[in-house]
Amino acid sequence: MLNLAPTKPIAAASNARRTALLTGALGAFVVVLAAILPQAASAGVAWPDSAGSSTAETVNTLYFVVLGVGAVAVLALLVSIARATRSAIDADSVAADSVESGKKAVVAGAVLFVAFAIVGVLAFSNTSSAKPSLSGVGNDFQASPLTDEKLSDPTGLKPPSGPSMSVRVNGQQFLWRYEYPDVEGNWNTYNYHDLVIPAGVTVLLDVTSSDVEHSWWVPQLGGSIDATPGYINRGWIRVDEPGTYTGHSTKVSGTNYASMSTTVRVLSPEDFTAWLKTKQTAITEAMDELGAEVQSGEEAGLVEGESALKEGN
Amino acid sequence: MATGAFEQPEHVSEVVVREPIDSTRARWVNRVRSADHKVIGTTMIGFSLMAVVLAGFTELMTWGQLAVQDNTFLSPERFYSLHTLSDTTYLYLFALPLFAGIATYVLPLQIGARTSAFPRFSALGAWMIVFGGVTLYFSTFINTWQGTVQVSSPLSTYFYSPGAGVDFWFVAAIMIAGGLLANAIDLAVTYKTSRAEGMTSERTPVFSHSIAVYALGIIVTAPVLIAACLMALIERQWNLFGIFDPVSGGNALLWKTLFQWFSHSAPFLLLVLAIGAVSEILAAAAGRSPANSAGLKKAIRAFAVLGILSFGQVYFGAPVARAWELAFMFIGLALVVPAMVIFSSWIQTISGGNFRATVPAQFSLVFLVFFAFMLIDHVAFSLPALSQWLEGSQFGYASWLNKVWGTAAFAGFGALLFWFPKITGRNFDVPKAKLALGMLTVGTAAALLAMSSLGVDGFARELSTYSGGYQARNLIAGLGTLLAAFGAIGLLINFMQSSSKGVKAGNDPWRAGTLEWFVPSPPPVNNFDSIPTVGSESPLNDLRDRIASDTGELAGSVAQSPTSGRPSLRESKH
Repeated sequence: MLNLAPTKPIAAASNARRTALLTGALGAFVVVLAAILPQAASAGVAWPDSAGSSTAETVNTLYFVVLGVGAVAVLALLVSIARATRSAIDADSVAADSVESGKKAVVAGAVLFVAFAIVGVLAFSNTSSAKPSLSGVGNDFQASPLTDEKLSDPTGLKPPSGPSMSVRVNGQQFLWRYEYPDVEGNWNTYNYHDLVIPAGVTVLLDVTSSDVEHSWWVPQLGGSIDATPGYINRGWIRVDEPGTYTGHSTKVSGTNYASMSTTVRVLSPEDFTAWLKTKQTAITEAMDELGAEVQSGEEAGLVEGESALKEGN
Repeated sequence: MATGAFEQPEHVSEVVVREPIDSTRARWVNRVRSADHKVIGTTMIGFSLMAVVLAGFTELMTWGQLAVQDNTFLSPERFYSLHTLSDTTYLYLFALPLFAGIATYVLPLQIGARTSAFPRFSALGAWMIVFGGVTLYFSTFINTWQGTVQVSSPLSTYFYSPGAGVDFWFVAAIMIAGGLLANAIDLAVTYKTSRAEGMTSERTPVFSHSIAVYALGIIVTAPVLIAACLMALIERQWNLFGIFDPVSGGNALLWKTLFQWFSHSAPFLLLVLAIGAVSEILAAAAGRSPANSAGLKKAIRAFAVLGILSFGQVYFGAPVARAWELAFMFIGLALVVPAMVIFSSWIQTISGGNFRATVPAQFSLVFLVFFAFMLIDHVAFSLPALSQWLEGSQFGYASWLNKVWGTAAFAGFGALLFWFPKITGRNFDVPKAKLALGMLTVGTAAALLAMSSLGVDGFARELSTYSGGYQARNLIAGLGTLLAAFGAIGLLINFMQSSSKGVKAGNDPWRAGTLEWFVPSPPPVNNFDSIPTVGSESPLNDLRDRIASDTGELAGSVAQSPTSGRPSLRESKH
């Protein structure tokens, strides 16, 4: 085989001074970066915050698996580029080897695929939303106030058994509304912005949207759950210790999307019951007041109207 | 001279391209009327390079907003308008037309054809893309779309976005997708019907093969985007019934499916062309044909199919039955197999001691690293639990930018530099191109790493403002983008200056193996006076071997002698 003389294909018409100047600018930029980096590093830049729930723990594990394999893969790539461009192996033997090494690459790829698939299936059965079959518009939610009963799920993939409760999550431009059932199963208690839940209880989230597409995401509690208008998307969270977690919608939903954050406040079951009761009472009182106002307003209006009619006549 | 080494066909055909060059007309008129695939290709390339300046400028304005926390430099309306414009421009007006333009220019030359199969169809496509871009930017003066490039419905319905900006976006997308489709039909038919004698499918160059795969991918996906945008326009304009808005009986998931079929696939189709181009560049730099080319071509086909089918990743976290999540997880993960074959081929290609680190090869090697990161992201997004966690964060946006900008900046600019001597007949400025590569690499890496870090830290994607703890990384991302922008501008200036003032390149500056280097630079209108018979996948290397064995001397340039009397458009200047 012909050994091509490595010719320099393009004549370098260099302007050394300008190049030096620009290289200096590049160096200055690197220095600026180096000055900012420590500040960034202190914020914990390369991995997720500590998990608040078992779902989020699985996600974090997956993240580290992919990060680790990825780091090794990039390192291997860099090393093999460096080796390939330096080594002076006979070109003929390389040509003969290439088909063979292509086959090896298929095997290596298949091994990687199987490994990732196993990890993926394990994580899949461990986490995420227990989605029921599709439910269209108008399907009513099933009221499931605090119960001990096991949940049935058509897919066979269940959230953990044990005490559970349901919360309706509704995304709207540009906030989140959470609805709670009372013991009779009436969904008459609600709260905006903050999802307040009891610790150690599986909270089933029936997520939907009343306008455009949103996505409910609290990073320390797991992956995002889409709020798609016309669909009820079911997910679940379970947090064992009281605490506060913040999250944000992840679908651009219009101009004020940046303000569409949410907070999850995990209380002890006693505190939660107390909170729910207070909230219920407050809402009932407010509704009563409103009702009374409306009624008196209507009566006043009626009287005014009658007198106006009379005057008109 | 060297041409004698080929089996000459008995009749040297006359010029088959009727090129309506008329020196009494202005150059732009000739350009518009031209049916020469090279003129059409350079039109698309030139337009894409203009577009990237606009995209960079608009993107830098959004980074200005994000540089400081709680900033009020841009209102959310203005922020999302600019953000949508810049992202749309990167994908639809820069990356896709750049690669499609290079493909249109190179394919007939590389397979030994005097013209493309339907050049006027490609011309239509090129001008549809141009006018699609004009339509998109015209909306800036009226009212732009304040969503993102990943258009979501019902946000895009009339009720939630009453401004005309969305209509402009849809019309622009229809025109651009239609243009890409027309161009892709030309490319696919050219590949199928116009190959030189002896160029069996095993002997087609890898880049030509990847062009055919890309073209089929566009033919499969672009019509669906056109249909989806037409449906959305009908829903917006007449409001008779809901198509995507559930309030009036539509279905929001239907939109997601139709739209993402193209939108999620487009970066993979870009990557198909990038893989093909990088294979050619590395092979030329190593003075050989791409290693394991049969396996490489199979891998490119598998990559395209799996890449398109992995669009189901958009269902992770959405209200669909969970079995789909598993199915799309396997499809997505399967992509690692062709990816390993592709990497193995590249490493084999550059092994052997003959590798010269030419500037396009340096761009390609940087692309290899960014491509590796794209694949790691792809694996992460194939695992449902992790995808649900990362995709909605700024990590997901960084990954999208990497697939579009990273591919176009390193493989796309690399390919443009590789074929620049062929297109213009002149050399680019090497030190400046290397400096541009350094700036692009450092800037892009800084920006993408900072954004990924933000995402892992819980920063939701594409926020217009934020407070607390995120400022340093947003600043790094903005500065990185600025540095990359300077690199890109430097490269564009380099292109402009070198195309008129550069050193004459000669016809075969890289000593590459494929047929486009056989014709003069820039090629004459009819490309080939006589079309050589092809006996392997790198016919010019065969020719060099024969010259070496006949004369006992090394062969230099083996291109045909310049054709006289058939000026290219460039030389028709009066």
